[in-house]
Amino acid sequence: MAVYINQPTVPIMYLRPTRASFDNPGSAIDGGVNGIGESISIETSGGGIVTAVYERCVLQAEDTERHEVINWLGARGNGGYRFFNVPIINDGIGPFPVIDGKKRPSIKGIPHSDGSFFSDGSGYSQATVYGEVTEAAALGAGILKMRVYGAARPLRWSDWFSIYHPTKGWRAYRYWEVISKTNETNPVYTLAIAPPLREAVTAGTRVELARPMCVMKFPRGFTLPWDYEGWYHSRPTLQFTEAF
Amino acid sequence: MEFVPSSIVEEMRGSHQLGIFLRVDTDPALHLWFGINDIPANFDSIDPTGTVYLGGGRLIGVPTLEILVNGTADSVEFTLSGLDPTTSAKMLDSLPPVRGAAVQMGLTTLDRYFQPMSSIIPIWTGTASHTGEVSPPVEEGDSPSITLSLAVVTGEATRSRGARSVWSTPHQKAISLTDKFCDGVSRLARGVQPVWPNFQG
Repeated sequence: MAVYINQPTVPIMYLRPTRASFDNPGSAIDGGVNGIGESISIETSGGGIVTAVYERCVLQAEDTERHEVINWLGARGNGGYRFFNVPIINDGIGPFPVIDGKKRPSIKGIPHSDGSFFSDGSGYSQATVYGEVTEAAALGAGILKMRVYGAARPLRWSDWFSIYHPTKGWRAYRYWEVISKTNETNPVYTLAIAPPLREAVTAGTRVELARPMCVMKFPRGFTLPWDYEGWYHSRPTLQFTEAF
Repeated sequence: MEFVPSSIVEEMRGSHQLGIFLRVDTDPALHLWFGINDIPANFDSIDPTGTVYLGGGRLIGVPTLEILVNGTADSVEFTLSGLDPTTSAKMLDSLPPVRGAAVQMGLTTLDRYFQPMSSIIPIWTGTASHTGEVSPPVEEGDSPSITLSLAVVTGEATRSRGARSVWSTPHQKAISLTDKFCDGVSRLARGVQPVWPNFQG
């Protein structure tokens, strides 16, 4: 049986993609046409899957380790039967507060309680915005209730977020409707989500809004060659689809 | 209440989400639906407590389903492709006892929040006969795929008990050698009013 948890994360920031695309395509079939050639659509995928594309990662001659990462991705992912956790970069768009002149999905350099840091000078890091499921939801649920902490703006149109499921691993969702919102500092949102929940969640489950992740694989027909021009310049494109 | 609830009929008038469900009564039963992710659903009185239908892949061949009419039993093949490892393993594990198992096919619509709008409405019932596994040779450039198929017959007929497809003398004599019950059938045709023989005297 396929394992969806404990998968390695793709170091996407390190690979410096210059273009990204995330989608949740449907697969409607035609329902027959009326007199003016228009049809009703019959959607049969039951919510669809999440896809991600990172284009034109910047690899230069001196980036020998980036070439190693590309080789690792191809070695692990080709054939689409081994999985990765793929982060969805939403740093500049999500409901994150502006700290030091920039939207920050997470803050770094948090010291130990006695004020000291780790031996290499780094501290803990923590997401600035996160959510918590307030009401248990069943497998396949299309409505999720969650309390959102620290958001700089309300959830209004749509945002990506992810939940770590014990069996199905990291799964990314986005909401298409804010059904209701309580009037508090950290409001409870009732959200209509797409795709539907991949695994049941209990109250108290953490929801990540900062840099959501989804367990993914290479789509059918996609392979990642190690390919480069003269002087080891390369602009590879990565494609992923949600793992099942 | 109607067989197909009026809310489902109303939903189907416009663009909608359709869920097609397949249940094979093996032990344990195989529950499959034609979406991607797993979904809780149930047939009334068959899965009374509810169960989880496994996402069987994005596209599955649905054969034209026919029902037993006038002695013509149809055999159809359900094919699955794009299987995930769990589903295909479960399907293959259930191969030996699949013969003779009841097969139900049903549908319902999903609401805007991906929830089934009713219990699954059973629209077709059959009996599993035999399975097939096909992985055709592929040419360069194509990707190989595995297709599992399950032959299902309508009504009671399986391969060991052939369905009588035609009510003719040879067919009837093959079953009962001396039976003349169908001897006069060749005289029957649409629009013909055969004279009923009088064997007396």
